[in-house]
Amino acid sequence: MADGKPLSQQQALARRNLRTALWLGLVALGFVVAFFWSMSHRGG
Amino acid sequence: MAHDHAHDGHDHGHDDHAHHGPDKGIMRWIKTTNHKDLGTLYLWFSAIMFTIGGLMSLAIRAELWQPGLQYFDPELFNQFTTMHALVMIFGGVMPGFVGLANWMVPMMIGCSDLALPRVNNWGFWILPFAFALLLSTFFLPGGAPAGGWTIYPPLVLQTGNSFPLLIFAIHLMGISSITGAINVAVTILNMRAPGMTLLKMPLFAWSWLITAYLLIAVMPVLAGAVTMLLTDKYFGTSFFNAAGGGDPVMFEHIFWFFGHPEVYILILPSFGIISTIIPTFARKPLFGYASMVYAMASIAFLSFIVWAHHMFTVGIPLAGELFFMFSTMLIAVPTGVKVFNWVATMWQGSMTYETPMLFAVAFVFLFSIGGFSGLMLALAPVDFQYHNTYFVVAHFHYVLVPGAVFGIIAGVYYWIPKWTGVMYNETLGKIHFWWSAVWINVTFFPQHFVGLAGMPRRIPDYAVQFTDFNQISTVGAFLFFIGQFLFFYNILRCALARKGLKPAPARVWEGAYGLEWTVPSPAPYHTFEDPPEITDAETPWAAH
Repeated sequence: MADGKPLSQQQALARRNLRTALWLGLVALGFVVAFFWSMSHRGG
Repeated sequence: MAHDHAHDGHDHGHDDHAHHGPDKGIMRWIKTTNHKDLGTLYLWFSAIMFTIGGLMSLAIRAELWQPGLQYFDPELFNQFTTMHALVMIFGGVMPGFVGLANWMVPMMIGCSDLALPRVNNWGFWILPFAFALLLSTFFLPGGAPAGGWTIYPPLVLQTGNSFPLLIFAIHLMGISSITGAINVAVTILNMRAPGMTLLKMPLFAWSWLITAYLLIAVMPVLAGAVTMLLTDKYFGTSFFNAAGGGDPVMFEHIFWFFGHPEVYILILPSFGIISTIIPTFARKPLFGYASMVYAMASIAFLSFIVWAHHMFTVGIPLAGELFFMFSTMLIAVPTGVKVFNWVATMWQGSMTYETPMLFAVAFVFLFSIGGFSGLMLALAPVDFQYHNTYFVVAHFHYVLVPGAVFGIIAGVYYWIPKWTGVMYNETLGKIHFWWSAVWINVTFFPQHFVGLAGMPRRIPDYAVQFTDFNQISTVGAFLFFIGQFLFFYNILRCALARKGLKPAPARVWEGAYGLEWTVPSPAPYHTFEDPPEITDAETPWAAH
């Protein structure tokens, strides 16, 4: 924390939740980019 | 976040904030971040959308009462079929499942709320705006979208003023689904009570974890697809325009890459509900818990590699037809595992048939009918006959109505005593079940026959030889719809007029196990502020 106090357990969990949510979003984004990329490189 | 931090400061002083109840009046519902309140909102939203979508289906069935045009011109008929599907899928079934997840997942895994409660509020309140936009298109010049819920170009690009509203509404629904899915996944991954390992979780939580991953993966694909439609129509791009070097078949690939996992998004939570209900009323632990988890995960994986079975007749290479045919048939294996396990759970159980169990048993039987017709449709050569006929309509209504919708109804009957603290009327529930089970088959079974005989879907008129079966179907649809008011009455009485109803104990059903049955009925506004202890007795389904 900016004020030097350690995070409470609840704050730590909130941060962990946010981090997991952002990771899931990133994985989804990567998946979608990969999908559209592969679709735009079809043969024929 | 500042608000949460302010609360955190109180933790070691006085913790009265943990015990205050909900706000009063309408603001409670607008501002709420409580998973139980939002669960209730989702479920009421779903009920309203089922009613609106149901009324559209009655309009469709009325028009199909006899050949020729009765009540609606073909353009309006097509608007009804398109909007019926969009409203039922995105407004009825999906929010219904999210409502059940909101209510039950935190209580099942022993945490106090979803991981991201404000995101949860936002995710819900997007939906009324999305559907207000979508439904308002009926009043625009040119009417509502009419190109089918699959919004294939180039047909859908002929849509009039309602087109951008449709696209924006789909974007809003997508945002709502993605936020909801991320929320459920984060909750299950991070917030389980100590000792609640993944393979001890109730199957409903498992079904939702898998569903959440499907949603996170495919809703952005739909968003990408509809954005490309938007730019094709208004900004001169040619993604799907052959004249500009694009490919309309590409849209079908992209749409069904979303669409087929979407089909499993619409059924997996029901699998979880049925897997919860059957052991309770068979008074036996679920047969093959781990295999149920692996089967759901397999179904989810396979859902990504079967999409082109929706497009067998569009002209794809033979190797493609074979690949998608065999991968689709492969889904029968994990599905068979699930049906086997449900039956094996009932085998030699001390069965009783309360309303949730009746709906669950009907689910197993009637969903399997939809599964078998799905297997028929998976066969590429014969799909050339079935494609675009009423056989397809019969198939997906068998998996969606006695499948997904019966799952939601079973779950509501099963858990409403926990939510409201009172028992619903069992006699009325049983009448509702038998009424629904009879008329749903009267509605949809004859559609197999007219489909096999060649009646196309999505048309307001038909050849005269299909009249008899269509009339049977129409009678069934109207009677099924009317019967659902028994359900609404039964539920409304529990929710609003609790006086005179039998109070529900904490463990509502004697054969039910799990953390949700260790808290009082009605469940307190805040549950499991302190993590509960996970005992073997409350997780009999898991290997110990």
